[in-house]
Amino acid sequence: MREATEVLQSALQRDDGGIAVVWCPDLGLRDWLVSEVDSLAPTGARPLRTDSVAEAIAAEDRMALLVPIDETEAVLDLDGSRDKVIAESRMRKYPLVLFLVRNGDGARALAEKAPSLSSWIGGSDADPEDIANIDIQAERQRFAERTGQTPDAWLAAWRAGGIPRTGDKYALAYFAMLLEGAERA
Amino acid sequence: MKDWIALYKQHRARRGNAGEALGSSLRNALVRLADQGICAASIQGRFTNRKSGRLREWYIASDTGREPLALPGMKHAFLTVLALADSRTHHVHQFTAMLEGHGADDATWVVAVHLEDDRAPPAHDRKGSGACGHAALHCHVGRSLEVQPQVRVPLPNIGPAEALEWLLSVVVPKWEPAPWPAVVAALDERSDKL
Repeated sequence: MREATEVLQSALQRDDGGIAVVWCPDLGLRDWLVSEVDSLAPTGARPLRTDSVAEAIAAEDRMALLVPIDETEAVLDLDGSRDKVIAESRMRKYPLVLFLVRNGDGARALAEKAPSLSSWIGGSDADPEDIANIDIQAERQRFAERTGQTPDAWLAAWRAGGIPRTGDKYALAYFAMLLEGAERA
Repeated sequence: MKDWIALYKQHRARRGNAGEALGSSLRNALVRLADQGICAASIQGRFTNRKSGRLREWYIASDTGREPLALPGMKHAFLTVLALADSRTHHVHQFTAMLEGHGADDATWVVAVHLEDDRAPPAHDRKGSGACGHAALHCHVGRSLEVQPQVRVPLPNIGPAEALEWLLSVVVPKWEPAPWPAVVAALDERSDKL
Protein backbone atom coordinates (compact mmCIF):
# COMPACT_ATOMS: atom_id res chain seq x y z
CA MET A 1 0.00 0.00 0.00
CA ARG A 2 1.36 3.44 -0.92
CA GLU A 3 1.46 5.78 2.05
CA ALA A 4 -0.12 9.19 1.40
CA THR A 5 2.56 11.19 3.18
CA GLU A 6 5.48 9.37 1.60
CA VAL A 7 4.02 9.98 -1.86
CA LEU A 8 3.61 13.66 -1.00
CA GLN A 9 7.16 13.84 0.31
CA SER A 10 8.49 12.17 -2.86
CA ALA A 11 6.75 14.77 -5.02
CA LEU A 12 8.32 17.55 -2.94
CA GLN A 13 11.80 16.03 -3.16
CA ARG A 14 11.75 15.05 -6.82
CA ASP A 15 13.01 18.36 -8.16
CA ASP A 16 14.62 20.50 -5.44
CA GLY A 17 14.55 23.82 -7.28
CA GLY A 18 11.50 23.10 -9.41
CA ILE A 19 7.76 23.30 -9.04
CA ALA A 20 5.63 20.72 -7.26
CA VAL A 21 1.85 20.64 -7.37
CA VAL A 22 -0.32 19.42 -4.50
CA TRP A 23 -3.86 18.59 -5.56
CA CYS A 24 -6.53 19.44 -3.01
CA PRO A 25 -9.96 17.77 -3.15
CA ASP A 26 -11.63 21.12 -2.38
CA LEU A 27 -10.98 24.48 -0.75
CA GLY A 28 -12.14 23.11 2.62
CA LEU A 29 -9.15 20.81 2.90
CA ARG A 30 -6.60 23.11 1.27
CA ASP A 31 -5.38 24.73 4.50
CA TRP A 32 -4.99 21.30 6.04
CA LEU A 33 -2.80 20.18 3.12
CA VAL A 34 -0.74 23.36 3.40
CA SER A 35 -0.15 22.51 7.05
CA GLU A 36 0.86 18.98 6.05
CA VAL A 37 3.39 20.19 3.48
CA ASP A 38 4.72 22.74 5.96
CA SER A 39 5.51 19.92 8.39
CA LEU A 40 7.28 17.94 5.65
CA ALA A 41 9.68 20.75 4.80
CA PRO A 42 13.34 19.87 5.24
CA THR A 43 15.26 21.51 8.07
CA GLY A 44 16.18 25.05 7.08
CA ALA A 45 13.52 25.38 4.37
CA ARG A 46 11.54 27.97 6.38
CA PRO A 47 8.27 27.47 4.48
CA LEU A 48 6.72 30.72 3.23
CA ARG A 49 3.00 30.75 2.55
CA THR A 50 1.99 33.28 -0.06
CA ASP A 51 -0.71 33.94 -2.65
CA SER A 52 1.70 35.90 -4.86
CA VAL A 53 3.55 34.22 -7.73
CA ALA A 54 6.22 36.94 -7.69
CA GLU A 55 6.81 36.48 -3.97
CA ALA A 56 6.98 32.71 -4.36
CA ILE A 57 9.55 32.99 -7.16
CA ALA A 58 11.59 35.53 -5.19
CA ALA A 59 11.83 33.23 -2.16
CA GLU A 60 14.95 31.50 -3.48
CA ASP A 61 16.23 30.21 -0.17
CA ARG A 62 12.88 29.10 1.21
CA MET A 63 10.21 26.55 0.37
CA ALA A 64 7.43 28.69 -1.10
CA LEU A 65 3.89 27.46 -0.49
CA LEU A 66 1.90 29.17 -3.23
CA VAL A 67 -1.80 29.19 -2.31
CA PRO A 68 -3.35 31.30 -5.06
CA ILE A 69 -6.53 33.31 -4.78
CA ASP A 70 -7.03 33.02 -8.55
CA GLU A 71 -5.71 29.63 -9.69
CA THR A 72 -5.90 30.34 -13.43
CA GLU A 73 -3.97 33.58 -13.07
CA ALA A 74 -1.32 31.89 -10.94
CA VAL A 75 -0.85 29.06 -13.45
CA LEU A 76 -0.58 31.50 -16.36
CA ASP A 77 1.81 33.74 -14.40
CA LEU A 78 4.02 30.78 -13.58
CA ASP A 79 3.90 29.61 -17.19
CA GLY A 80 4.89 33.10 -18.33
CA SER A 81 7.70 33.16 -15.78
CA ARG A 82 8.95 29.72 -16.74
CA ASP A 83 12.31 30.89 -18.12
CA LYS A 84 12.94 33.02 -15.03
CA VAL A 85 11.98 30.18 -12.71
CA ILE A 86 14.18 27.72 -14.62
CA ALA A 87 17.09 30.16 -14.55
CA GLU A 88 16.68 30.68 -10.82
CA SER A 89 16.02 27.03 -10.10
CA ARG A 90 19.78 26.51 -10.06
CA MET A 91 19.94 28.91 -7.13
CA ARG A 92 16.81 27.51 -5.50
CA LYS A 93 17.34 24.86 -2.83
CA TYR A 94 13.70 24.00 -2.24
CA PRO A 95 10.72 23.48 -4.52
CA LEU A 96 8.01 26.04 -5.12
CA VAL A 97 4.85 24.20 -4.07
CA LEU A 98 1.65 25.16 -5.88
CA PHE A 99 -1.67 24.16 -4.29
CA LEU A 100 -4.48 23.61 -6.78
CA VAL A 101 -7.98 22.24 -6.41
CA ARG A 102 -8.40 18.89 -8.13
CA ASN A 103 -10.47 19.37 -11.33
CA GLY A 104 -10.61 23.12 -10.60
CA ASP A 105 -9.82 26.19 -12.69
CA GLY A 106 -6.07 25.81 -12.13
CA ALA A 107 -6.11 22.19 -13.28
CA ARG A 108 -7.95 23.19 -16.46
CA ALA A 109 -5.58 26.09 -17.09
CA LEU A 110 -2.58 23.81 -16.57
CA ALA A 111 -3.90 21.24 -19.04
CA GLU A 112 -5.23 23.62 -21.68
CA LYS A 113 -3.23 26.83 -21.49
CA ALA A 114 0.12 26.03 -19.91
CA PRO A 115 1.48 22.88 -21.57
CA SER A 116 5.12 23.83 -21.03
CA LEU A 117 4.60 24.38 -17.32
CA SER A 118 2.62 21.17 -17.16
CA SER A 119 5.40 19.25 -18.84
CA TRP A 120 8.01 20.82 -16.54
CA ILE A 121 6.05 19.77 -13.45
CA GLY A 122 6.08 16.24 -14.86
CA GLY A 123 5.70 13.76 -12.01
CA SER A 124 6.25 16.31 -9.26
CA ASP A 125 2.62 16.34 -8.28
CA ALA A 126 0.67 14.44 -5.66
CA ASP A 127 -2.93 13.96 -4.60
CA PRO A 128 -2.43 12.81 -1.00
CA GLU A 129 -6.14 12.82 -0.14
CA ASP A 130 -6.86 10.45 -2.99
CA ILE A 131 -4.04 8.12 -1.96
CA ALA A 132 -5.18 8.19 1.68
CA ASN A 133 -8.48 6.53 0.74
CA ILE A 134 -8.13 2.84 1.52
CA ASP A 135 -9.55 -0.04 -0.49
CA ILE A 136 -11.91 -1.33 2.19
CA GLN A 137 -12.49 -4.83 0.88
CA ALA A 138 -8.82 -5.47 0.15
CA GLU A 139 -7.75 -4.15 3.56
CA ARG A 140 -10.42 -6.18 5.38
CA GLN A 141 -9.11 -9.28 3.65
CA ARG A 142 -5.51 -8.42 4.54
CA PHE A 143 -6.54 -7.84 8.15
CA ALA A 144 -8.22 -11.27 8.29
CA GLU A 145 -5.17 -12.95 6.76
CA ARG A 146 -2.92 -11.28 9.32
CA THR A 147 -5.00 -11.88 12.44
CA GLY A 148 -7.22 -14.86 11.52
CA GLN A 149 -10.29 -12.76 12.37
CA THR A 150 -12.47 -10.15 10.72
CA PRO A 151 -11.88 -6.60 12.00
CA ASP A 152 -15.22 -6.76 13.84
CA ALA A 153 -14.46 -10.05 15.60
CA TRP A 154 -10.98 -8.85 16.51
CA LEU A 155 -12.36 -5.56 17.86
CA ALA A 156 -14.97 -7.41 19.92
CA ALA A 157 -12.16 -9.33 21.63
CA TRP A 158 -10.15 -6.11 22.05
CA ARG A 159 -13.06 -4.25 23.62
CA ALA A 160 -13.73 -7.19 25.95
CA GLY A 161 -10.16 -6.90 27.24
CA GLY A 162 -9.06 -10.20 25.72
CA ILE A 163 -6.04 -8.78 23.87
CA PRO A 164 -2.92 -7.38 25.60
CA ARG A 165 -2.64 -3.59 25.62
CA THR A 166 0.68 -3.30 23.76
CA GLY A 167 1.64 -0.73 21.15
CA ASP A 168 1.41 -3.10 18.19
CA LYS A 169 -2.05 -4.21 19.32
CA TYR A 170 -3.19 -0.60 19.73
CA ALA A 171 -2.05 0.02 16.15
CA LEU A 172 -4.09 -2.97 15.01
CA ALA A 173 -7.12 -1.77 16.99
CA TYR A 174 -7.07 1.69 15.42
CA PHE A 175 -6.86 0.19 11.94
CA ALA A 176 -9.69 -2.22 12.74
CA MET A 177 -11.79 0.77 13.83
CA LEU A 178 -11.14 2.39 10.47
CA LEU A 179 -12.32 -0.76 8.72
CA GLU A 180 -15.24 -1.16 11.11
CA GLY A 181 -16.32 2.39 10.38
CA ALA A 182 -16.40 1.51 6.72
CA GLU A 183 -18.59 -1.48 7.40
CA ARG A 184 -21.14 0.62 9.26
CA ALA A 185 -21.32 3.18 6.47
CA MET B 1 -17.43 16.76 41.91
CA LYS B 2 -17.67 20.13 40.13
CA ASP B 3 -14.00 20.10 39.13
CA TRP B 4 -14.21 16.60 37.61
CA ILE B 5 -17.23 17.61 35.59
CA ALA B 6 -15.41 20.75 34.44
CA LEU B 7 -12.37 18.67 33.43
CA TYR B 8 -14.56 16.28 31.43
CA LYS B 9 -16.20 19.22 29.66
CA GLN B 10 -12.78 20.70 28.88
CA HIS B 11 -11.53 17.41 27.44
CA ARG B 12 -14.67 17.13 25.35
CA ALA B 13 -14.38 20.70 24.03
CA ARG B 14 -10.69 20.27 23.29
CA ARG B 15 -11.34 17.50 20.77
CA GLY B 16 -12.38 20.10 18.23
CA ASN B 17 -9.48 22.44 18.93
CA ALA B 18 -6.55 20.52 17.47
CA GLY B 19 -7.92 21.48 14.06
CA GLU B 20 -6.06 21.00 10.85
CA ALA B 21 -2.72 21.05 12.69
CA LEU B 22 -3.30 17.69 14.40
CA GLY B 23 -1.08 15.65 12.05
CA SER B 24 1.52 18.34 11.49
CA SER B 25 1.92 19.16 15.19
CA LEU B 26 2.44 15.48 16.05
CA ARG B 27 4.85 15.11 13.10
CA ASN B 28 6.83 18.16 14.22
CA ALA B 29 7.44 16.51 17.61
CA LEU B 30 8.57 13.30 15.89
CA VAL B 31 10.91 15.25 13.60
CA ARG B 32 12.49 16.89 16.65
CA LEU B 33 13.09 13.38 18.02
CA ALA B 34 14.77 12.40 14.75
CA ASP B 35 16.87 15.59 14.81
CA GLN B 36 18.25 14.43 18.15
CA GLY B 37 19.18 11.04 16.67
CA ILE B 38 16.60 9.22 18.81
CA CYS B 39 14.64 7.77 15.89
CA ALA B 40 15.03 7.41 12.13
CA ALA B 41 14.83 10.61 10.07
CA SER B 42 12.41 8.85 7.72
CA ILE B 43 9.71 9.17 10.39
CA GLN B 44 8.87 12.58 8.90
CA GLY B 45 7.28 10.84 5.90
CA ARG B 46 6.23 7.68 7.71
CA PHE B 47 3.98 9.48 10.17
CA THR B 48 1.07 9.37 7.80
CA ASN B 49 -2.68 8.96 7.47
CA ARG B 50 -5.29 6.88 5.74
CA LYS B 51 -9.02 7.31 5.64
CA SER B 52 -12.33 5.62 5.22
CA GLY B 53 -15.30 7.89 4.65
CA ARG B 54 -15.17 10.65 7.26
CA LEU B 55 -12.73 8.82 9.52
CA ARG B 56 -8.99 9.51 9.24
CA GLU B 57 -6.37 7.47 11.06
CA TRP B 58 -2.92 8.85 11.91
CA TYR B 59 -0.18 6.28 12.44
CA ILE B 60 3.51 5.50 12.04
CA ALA B 61 3.97 3.32 8.95
CA SER B 62 6.06 0.30 9.92
CA ASP B 63 5.56 -3.47 10.24
CA THR B 64 4.20 -3.16 13.77
CA GLY B 65 3.10 0.49 13.98
CA ARG B 66 5.84 1.06 16.57
CA GLU B 67 8.98 3.14 16.15
CA PRO B 68 12.20 2.00 17.84
CA LEU B 69 13.82 4.76 19.90
CA ALA B 70 17.38 4.98 21.15
CA LEU B 71 16.98 6.27 24.70
CA PRO B 72 19.53 6.49 27.48
CA GLY B 73 18.51 4.36 30.43
CA MET B 74 16.42 1.97 28.35
CA LYS B 75 17.59 -1.20 26.66
CA HIS B 76 14.71 -1.23 24.23
CA ALA B 77 12.06 1.41 23.63
CA PHE B 78 9.24 1.59 21.10
CA LEU B 79 6.94 4.53 20.46
CA THR B 80 3.38 4.28 19.14
CA VAL B 81 1.41 7.37 18.08
CA LEU B 82 -2.17 6.94 16.86
CA ALA B 83 -5.17 9.18 16.32
CA LEU B 84 -8.63 8.90 14.82
CA ALA B 85 -10.16 12.15 13.63
CA ASP B 86 -12.94 13.46 11.43
CA SER B 87 -11.40 14.00 8.00
CA ARG B 88 -13.39 17.20 7.37
CA THR B 89 -13.72 18.90 10.76
CA HIS B 90 -10.52 17.40 12.25
CA HIS B 91 -12.41 16.67 15.48
CA VAL B 92 -10.26 14.18 17.41
CA HIS B 93 -12.20 11.04 18.31
CA GLN B 94 -9.38 9.07 19.89
CA PHE B 95 -5.68 9.45 20.60
CA THR B 96 -2.97 7.16 21.91
CA ALA B 97 0.72 7.80 22.52
CA MET B 98 2.62 4.98 24.13
CA LEU B 99 6.24 4.21 24.89
CA GLU B 100 7.05 0.67 25.99
CA GLY B 101 10.24 -1.25 26.44
CA HIS B 102 12.80 -2.57 28.88
CA GLY B 103 14.71 -0.47 31.35
CA ALA B 104 18.35 -0.87 32.28
CA ASP B 105 17.32 -3.54 34.81
CA ASP B 106 15.56 -5.53 32.05
CA ALA B 107 12.17 -4.90 33.62
CA THR B 108 9.34 -4.00 31.27
CA TRP B 109 8.19 -0.41 31.48
CA VAL B 110 5.45 1.62 29.80
CA VAL B 111 4.18 5.17 29.75
CA ALA B 112 1.01 5.92 27.79
CA VAL B 113 -1.48 8.69 27.13
CA HIS B 114 -5.04 7.88 26.11
CA LEU B 115 -7.89 10.04 24.93
CA GLU B 116 -10.87 7.69 24.96
CA ASP B 117 -12.95 7.14 21.82
CA ASP B 118 -15.99 9.43 21.93
CA ARG B 119 -17.76 7.31 19.28
CA ALA B 120 -17.59 4.00 21.13
CA PRO B 121 -20.95 2.52 22.08
CA PRO B 122 -22.63 2.48 24.52
CA ALA B 123 -21.08 5.13 26.79
CA HIS B 124 -18.78 6.90 24.32
CA ASP B 125 -15.74 8.28 26.19
CA ARG B 126 -17.31 7.71 29.62
CA LYS B 127 -15.35 4.60 30.64
CA GLY B 128 -15.04 3.16 34.12
CA SER B 129 -17.25 4.41 36.91
CA GLY B 130 -16.66 8.16 36.65
CA ALA B 131 -14.77 11.22 35.53
CA CYS B 132 -12.20 11.02 38.36
CA GLY B 133 -11.16 7.36 38.17
CA HIS B 134 -11.30 7.27 34.37
CA ALA B 135 -10.85 10.76 32.98
CA ALA B 136 -11.35 10.97 29.20
CA LEU B 137 -7.72 12.09 28.83
CA HIS B 138 -5.38 10.23 31.16
CA CYS B 139 -1.96 8.64 31.38
CA HIS B 140 -0.49 5.41 32.70
CA VAL B 141 3.01 4.71 34.00
CA GLY B 142 4.07 1.27 35.14
CA ARG B 143 5.38 -2.19 34.30
CA SER B 144 2.61 -2.79 31.79
CA LEU B 145 -0.96 -1.69 31.15
CA GLU B 146 -2.20 -4.97 32.62
CA VAL B 147 -0.49 -4.96 36.02
CA GLN B 148 -2.89 -4.31 38.92
CA PRO B 149 -3.62 -1.86 40.36
CA GLN B 150 -3.79 0.08 37.11
CA VAL B 151 -2.59 3.62 37.68
CA ARG B 152 -4.67 6.00 35.61
CA VAL B 153 -3.79 9.66 36.15
CA PRO B 154 -6.09 12.39 34.79
CA LEU B 155 -4.32 14.83 32.48
CA PRO B 156 -5.19 18.53 32.31
CA ASN B 157 -6.79 20.28 29.36
CA ILE B 158 -4.05 19.72 26.76
CA GLY B 159 -4.20 18.59 23.14
CA PRO B 160 -2.67 15.49 21.50
CA ALA B 161 0.59 17.22 20.54
CA GLU B 162 1.07 18.53 24.09
CA ALA B 163 0.25 15.09 25.49
CA LEU B 164 2.92 13.55 23.24
CA GLU B 165 5.38 16.23 24.34
CA TRP B 166 4.67 15.39 27.98
CA LEU B 167 5.22 11.68 27.32
CA LEU B 168 8.54 12.40 25.61
CA SER B 169 9.60 14.69 28.46
CA VAL B 170 9.46 11.64 30.73
CA VAL B 171 12.04 9.69 28.75
CA VAL B 172 14.06 12.07 26.58
CA PRO B 173 16.78 14.05 28.39
CA LYS B 174 16.43 17.82 28.02
CA TRP B 175 13.10 17.43 26.18
CA GLU B 176 11.24 20.42 27.57
CA PRO B 177 8.66 22.18 25.41
CA ALA B 178 8.12 24.88 28.04
CA PRO B 179 11.50 25.71 29.64
CA TRP B 180 11.23 27.99 32.65
CA PRO B 181 13.07 30.96 31.05
CA ALA B 182 10.50 30.93 28.22
CA VAL B 183 7.66 30.64 30.72
CA VAL B 184 8.99 33.55 32.75
CA ALA B 185 9.50 35.64 29.58
CA ALA B 186 5.91 34.93 28.56
CA LEU B 187 4.70 35.96 32.01
CA ASP B 188 6.78 39.16 31.81
CA GLU B 189 5.25 39.99 28.44
CA ARG B 190 1.83 39.81 30.01
CA SER B 191 2.95 41.90 33.00
CA ASP B 192 2.05 38.91 35.07
CA LYS B 193 5.34 38.45 36.92
CA LEU B 194 5.76 35.74 39.50
